[in-house]
Amino acid sequence: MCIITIQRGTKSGGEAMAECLGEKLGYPLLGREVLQEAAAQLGVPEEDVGDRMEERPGRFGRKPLITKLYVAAVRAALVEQARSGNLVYHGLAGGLLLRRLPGVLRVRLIAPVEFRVRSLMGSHGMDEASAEAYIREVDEARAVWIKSVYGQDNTDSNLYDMVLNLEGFSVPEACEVVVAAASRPEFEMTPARMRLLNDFDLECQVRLALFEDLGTQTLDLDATVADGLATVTGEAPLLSTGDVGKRIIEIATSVPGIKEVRLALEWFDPYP
Amino acid sequence: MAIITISRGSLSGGRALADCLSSRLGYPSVGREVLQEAAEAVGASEEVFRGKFETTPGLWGRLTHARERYVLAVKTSLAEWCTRGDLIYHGLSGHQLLKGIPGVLKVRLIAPMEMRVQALLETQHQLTASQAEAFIKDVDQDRARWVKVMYGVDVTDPSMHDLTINLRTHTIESACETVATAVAQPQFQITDEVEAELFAFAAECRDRLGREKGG
Repeated sequence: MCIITIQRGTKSGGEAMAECLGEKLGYPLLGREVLQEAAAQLGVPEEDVGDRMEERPGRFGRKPLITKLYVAAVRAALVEQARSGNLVYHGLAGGLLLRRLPGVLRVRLIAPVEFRVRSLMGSHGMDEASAEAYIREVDEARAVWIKSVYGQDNTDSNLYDMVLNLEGFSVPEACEVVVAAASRPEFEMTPARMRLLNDFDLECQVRLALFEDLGTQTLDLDATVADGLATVTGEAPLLSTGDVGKRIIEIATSVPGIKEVRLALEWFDPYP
Repeated sequence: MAIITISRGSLSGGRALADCLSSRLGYPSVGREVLQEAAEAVGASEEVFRGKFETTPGLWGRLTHARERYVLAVKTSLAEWCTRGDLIYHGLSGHQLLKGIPGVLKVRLIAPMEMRVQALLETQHQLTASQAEAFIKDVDQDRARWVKVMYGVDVTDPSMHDLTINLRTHTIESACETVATAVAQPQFQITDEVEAELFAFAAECRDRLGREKGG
């Protein structure tokens, strides 16, 4: 059992690689369908979620609230699909969505531009110059998105467990290499990791619920979960009514599986 | 028959991976030997040679004739090793020295700074953690500049390698298994055609070095 994420540029063989891994390992695959799940949860069109996951999030690198909400929804949908402990994810943002989770095999696939251009020309009937321009544009948009949402350079090999170059490997060969890595103990979904996965699933649901609620979504709260105990951190206004704290506890306990909520908030005076 | 080159930053486990692969696959593993042979070929002492080969050219990145000759000598020595059969090379710049030669599996190992600092502290007890980190960063920077000057490429660019493995999560044993699987793939088999190319490459390097020495 293992969770594998594949980060790649458009037309870099990611889908073929995911299919090969799915076939060899018998794991379910998840790609852009995760956007449908997230959109259904939020009650918005799938295109809106897709746009927010790919477009530059606002000027000056700010992360608008809506981007955070959509990312939280996509992550929660992804983790829900990963709950069984077996998954090949080849959708947007790759392993970054699961970066807090140990034992995930984070793969990056790279391919020479010529390979990608040929692939796009074949699948979309584009001429060479348009295909190359399109690839560069998408690469740049994704890099900017990841930089502004995660503060990371998506081409940095340190973010991944392995990087495979399709200039050297064919897709089936690269697939064999990833299968070999996935069978190593470092990436095995052990019972201890299953518990962490379960906690992470709850964590994602609590975070999403806090983002969805109009009363708490502007507070920039974070949550961690261990054995059903949710700890909510962040800054919150100290109101004499104590309503904010109560509301956070209500929201977090509404997530099935959360047994207890602990507030570790930094309170500030909204009327200094 | 197969050829593997391993590049890595200092203290990133390259030697350990080479040793593991050598016992797993039964291939000879070489690093320094290539340099020693190259030094002999140009009649330089190994120390002088290492200095020229491993340290960065001067402030403006000038490539002196002597330095170019030394790089050619290393390339020739490595090419000769390649013609002798299976090989694991864990010395400097294997992927660049054998650039363009088909069938060579070019591996890069990376490791997080904390891990590398720890590895250095285990042998250099007098250093503090911050001194160890500063030392590693210096070496990295120097090597990056060296590779940039010599080959005009970015040492961290993953497209220079076929496979990059991160030791943050992989143990050396796991990295070793993964590389063994990779090198067993058809793309990395040294076929008769590739072998002929290797011999031609070695002959060309030898001729060029001979002309350099003659000139």
